[in-house]
Amino acid sequence: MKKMKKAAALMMAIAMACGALAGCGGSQSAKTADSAANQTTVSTEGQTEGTQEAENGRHINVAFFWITSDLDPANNYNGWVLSRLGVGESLVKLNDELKVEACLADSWENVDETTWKFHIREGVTFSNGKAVDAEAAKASIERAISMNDRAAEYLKIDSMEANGQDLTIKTTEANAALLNNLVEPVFDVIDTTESEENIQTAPVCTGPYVVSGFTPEQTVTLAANPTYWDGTAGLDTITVTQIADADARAMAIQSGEIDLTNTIDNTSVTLFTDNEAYNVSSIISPRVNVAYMNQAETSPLHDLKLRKAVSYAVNRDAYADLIGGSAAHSAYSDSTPFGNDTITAYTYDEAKAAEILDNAGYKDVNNDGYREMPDGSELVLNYLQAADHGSADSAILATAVQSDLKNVGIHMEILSVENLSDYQTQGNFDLYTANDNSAPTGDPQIWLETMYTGLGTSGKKNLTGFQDDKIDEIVRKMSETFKTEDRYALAAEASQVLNDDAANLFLTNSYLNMVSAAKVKNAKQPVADYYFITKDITVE
Amino acid sequence: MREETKIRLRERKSQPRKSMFRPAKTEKGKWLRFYCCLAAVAFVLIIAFFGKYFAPYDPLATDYAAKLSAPNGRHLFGTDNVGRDVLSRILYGAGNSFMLTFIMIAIVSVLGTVIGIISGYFGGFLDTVIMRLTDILLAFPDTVFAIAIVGMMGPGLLNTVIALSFVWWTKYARMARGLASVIRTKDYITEARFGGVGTAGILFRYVLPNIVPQVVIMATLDVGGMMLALAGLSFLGLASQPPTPEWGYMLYEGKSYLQTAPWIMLFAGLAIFITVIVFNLLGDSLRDILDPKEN
Repeated sequence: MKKMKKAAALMMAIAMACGALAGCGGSQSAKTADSAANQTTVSTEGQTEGTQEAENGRHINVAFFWITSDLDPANNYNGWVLSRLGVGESLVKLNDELKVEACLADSWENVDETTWKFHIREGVTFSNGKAVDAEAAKASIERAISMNDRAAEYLKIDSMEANGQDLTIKTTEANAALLNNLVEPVFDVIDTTESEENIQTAPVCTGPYVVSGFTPEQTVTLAANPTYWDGTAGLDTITVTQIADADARAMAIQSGEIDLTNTIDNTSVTLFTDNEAYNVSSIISPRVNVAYMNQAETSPLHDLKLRKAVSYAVNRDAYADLIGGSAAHSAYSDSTPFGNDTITAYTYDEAKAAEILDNAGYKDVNNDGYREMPDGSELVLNYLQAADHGSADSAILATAVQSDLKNVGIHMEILSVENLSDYQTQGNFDLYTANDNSAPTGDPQIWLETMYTGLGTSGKKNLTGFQDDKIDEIVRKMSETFKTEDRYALAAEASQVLNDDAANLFLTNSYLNMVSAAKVKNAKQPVADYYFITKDITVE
Repeated sequence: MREETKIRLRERKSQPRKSMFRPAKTEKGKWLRFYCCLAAVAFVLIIAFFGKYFAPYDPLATDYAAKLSAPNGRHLFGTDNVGRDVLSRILYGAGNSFMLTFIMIAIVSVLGTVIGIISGYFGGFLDTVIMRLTDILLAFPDTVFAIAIVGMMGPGLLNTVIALSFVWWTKYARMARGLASVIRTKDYITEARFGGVGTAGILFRYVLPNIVPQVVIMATLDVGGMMLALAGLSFLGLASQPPTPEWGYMLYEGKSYLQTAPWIMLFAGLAIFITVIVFNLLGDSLRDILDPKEN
């Protein structure tokens, strides 16, 4: 009897297990069918969706390191993502020599110091079919300026006048950087007559692709823009997924989950180079790995001599070898044409660093292996480190800088933080690292203004308390200097001042690596890193 | 608590067969197994506390030219991404990892036991309050909760110790409370009280000695778990800060090189793996010997 009961119980358990399994299976397939039928649903399962759409046309899956919480280009740095998606375009764009090229505007003229005239290309329409005229461009730029401090700071607009395809911009003061600054994706031209909600989730722009679905910070689905003004898009659909971690991106492309991605760490790029299954496109970018030094009086680095010693103590060439790229010479990347070859930069010289420290009175008085402040109190530098752009590079740099400073007797402690900006705004640091674009608009002025004067107002700004009248003067001159070569010469002058001031530790110029599966054609890493997906990218 | 259930399951299943890893049936076998495990733990501990004297290099010394060297004659375990010797870092890291683990275990077991005894012995309203509090804390997955706390307080070793202690003491409190509330009703306690022994005397002379063996077993079994939790937080970059050699953090540093230089992760992972296994086995066998139920 007991045995039978047991057997019955066992049978029931098996039956239930089967039922549960069947139930799961059923709901699973129902869900897939559902998502297939309803294409507008944005799926986070990039792969499933990818294979389904592949049957309908040319499709690739792409991973970005960052997808914003909305796609409004005027909001914060979200325009950079919209531009990378191949959706948003500005009046002008940057080529790989960091020179301005025509885009939505096909010609322009610098009438006088404060007047610029742009001619909007005939026949360009938004993806909803509406024509792009000067009025539309004006509305879009005005919206950006009203919403974003950075936009206002970049253009310094007094008034704009739209007349057919002619847009006249008057500035409040001479602003020689205006043309370059207009390439910034914050000025991506959008149809401002759309609702705010639409602008946030699927702004109507002019690029080769249009947004067909958007999940904040996760996925964007793109479809070819049928009304694109400059030829046809190379793909029918694209699914872009956010994968924040560089290693995860590398593994995703190895597993075939994605076909194209960038900002792959140099240490993993070796997995893809010399491998027929992948294309690799690498460039030295305008990005510089910088350890910013706090010059407020609360920090020991307030002392120029200490900053100089630190600048001599770090072995930039070795760092470039560790994380890829090249040793940095100035605040501007060597990939910029800003005259880095004409300035004197710091070279690795341990003996000189020690000599400066000895002469300045930084001596190890308590024999703990580390130098003390000239007044005998303890010297410990706090170095904030955060994973920038999902890369492990900043951690490696931190360790290496720490080790090099130890060699000259400077005690540095690393703090890995997530909330870097909290520490920065409190001024609660001696050094912090960042991987910053030193020529965000291909022009030297804005970077100098943002990071080395008190003029920077939004996003990135001068958090180190750096101030030098010579730099303020150079910025003033730049505003009135319209000739490119002269601007570059001023930039070199500024670089020299910054080096003389030992303003910050400019460590390496970083590589940008774009990796794609072999089937993806024409994927090329642009020098300006707010470009990514182009009309040329296609599949075989 | 989870460990306990696991062990019980294992015991039941293991009855028919006999092996090193299953509870021995005979008293002699139990002790043999205990001594084996003890020897293994002693070996690990010797490495942990004296390892740094065997380390061939300074664990912090970078050698950029030799970065990412595969294991070779000069660097037995290879080098990491800035050319530091992995073997030296593991040997030094053992000290850091163990010291932290033991400190943590000491904190949570003492704290938990004291709270548990007070709660169980005195009972009443205090008992209700303390037990509901542990209920609340036990309702959270402990590591996730610790991550949340560290996230709020900021990364760093001290904050990690505080966070883990905060979530970890509850199971000791639970156990001590259960035992204390049973012991309280025993005749010998009543007799002791009639004999004029004060509350403190009862707690220290009669209650505590009956609880300590259980706490020791639990603490031994916890070494592995605690080490994993610490390594986990370090792996997330929350506990140890660079350049401290610590096993969990070494895993984190090696993560980017899993494919190109697997030895960085491999050896640190092996070190954690072996240590956790050895301590769990010791806890197991200690339990076999001390567990009053079996005797």
